[in-house]
Amino acid sequence: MFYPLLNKFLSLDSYTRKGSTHQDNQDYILTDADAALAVICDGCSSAQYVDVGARLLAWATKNNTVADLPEIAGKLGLPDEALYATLLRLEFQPSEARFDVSINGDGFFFSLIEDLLIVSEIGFTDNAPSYPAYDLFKKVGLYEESYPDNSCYENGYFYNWPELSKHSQSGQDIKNPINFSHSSEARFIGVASDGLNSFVDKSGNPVPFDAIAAEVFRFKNFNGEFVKRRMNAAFAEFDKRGWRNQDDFSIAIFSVSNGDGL
Amino acid sequence: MPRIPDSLEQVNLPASHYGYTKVAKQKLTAAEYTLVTILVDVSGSVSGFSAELEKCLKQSVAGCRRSPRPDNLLLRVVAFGSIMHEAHGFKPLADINESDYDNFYAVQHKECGAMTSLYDTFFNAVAAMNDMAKDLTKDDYKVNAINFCITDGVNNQSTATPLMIRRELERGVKEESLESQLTILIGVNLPDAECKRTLETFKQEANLAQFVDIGNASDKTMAKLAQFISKSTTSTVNATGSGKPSQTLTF
Repeated sequence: MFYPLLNKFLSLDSYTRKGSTHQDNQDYILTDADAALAVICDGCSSAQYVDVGARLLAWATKNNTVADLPEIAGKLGLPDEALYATLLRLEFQPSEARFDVSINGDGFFFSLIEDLLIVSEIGFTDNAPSYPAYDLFKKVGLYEESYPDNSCYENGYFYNWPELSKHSQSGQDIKNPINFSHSSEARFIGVASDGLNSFVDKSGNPVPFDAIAAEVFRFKNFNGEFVKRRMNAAFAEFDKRGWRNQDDFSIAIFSVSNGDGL
Repeated sequence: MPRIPDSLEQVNLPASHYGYTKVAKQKLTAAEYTLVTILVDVSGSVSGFSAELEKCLKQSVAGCRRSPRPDNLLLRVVAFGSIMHEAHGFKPLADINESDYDNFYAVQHKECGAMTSLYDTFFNAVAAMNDMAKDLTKDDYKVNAINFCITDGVNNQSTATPLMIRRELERGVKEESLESQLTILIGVNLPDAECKRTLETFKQEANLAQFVDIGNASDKTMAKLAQFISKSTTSTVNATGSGKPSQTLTF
């Protein structure tokens, strides 16, 4: 879709793949190209019915009805924990030519600006991410009491584009949820669930994130189903190497181009 | 060389005189594509059933439109007589109208001449598929292919040989650009048993997937052929991305 204020075309595409340790994919991606919106919800692995809950949270986010979720879940006979899911939201604001980013829980945000790919990994030290549901069900206090030493961190990975060679790395503690605006001066911009850094090799050893990023972000083009194309190729390569994502993997990306897909 | 329509790009093939044309890659928005080539004999002997042949071609395209994933199909139609002539290069079904094939025999016969360059045309089709697949695969597209050749006679004017076709098919497999490639030779209105045997031998020597003698070129038979082409294509489209080879169907 062409945005006059930006004088560029935006393409939106996504991809999801179930993790090797899950029976069902507990991630859910919702994209709306007309609304220029991408939402990823990642259900809590230890909770029940989160595959349903992740879908409900994504649709409620799109329709601004998140506050109604406890009632909706109750009417469906779902326990509170079904809604225990992270929420990553990326939305383009056409009138202001900027992207709004919202991350509640863990996951990834990334953008390519000129020749630098910046990847932010948001995580929690006790692997206990905060969920929007804790607010909805007034369980924030209980969550904080259960994980008193839990804190949110951000790992920054920087890669030279297009070689995807490592430029640098950083780390810091941050507050969660995160809300910020990002310039539209990006070649592409996206979010991903924490499954992006859940790969192990044949022996079960973690695969270094740099090796995963080198394939995941190796885009050849940016038109149409560009994310599906790249992820199909990346996972074919991972399969050859015997690498598998233990956790569900979901990624949604906007590309910003002149309309030629390049 | 074929006339290049404005919207298609010309590609030269080192091993074939003719090359091929294709839609610009920027217009290919899907993650997976099936390349479909239909080769149509327009030599002198086909004139007797040219109307049925044209109808068959149009019905084949219409049938492909009804497949579950019509947007994942790129179709190329090539006519052959003494030489080959590309009616159109690889392009999405959405860019094709059945009326593009109006007066197909008359138009193409004028370009191609009266003889039968079956092997040259077949070789070009396979080489074009391999080249197109390689170009798409390097940009992360998943690709498979199916190739139909409709003929009423044997080759009598080519420089390519069945062995060259076989090697070109093997090259496609070796390069791993294509998930699978099916090649189906279709004999229609064959004049005698000797002709059928020659085409069967061609099928063996070139290692084609299937040879089907459909008999006469009646309305009913050609309609059945159109259905066979569209169902075989649908089967191949459904196999794209699965990593599994597509299967031949029974006529």
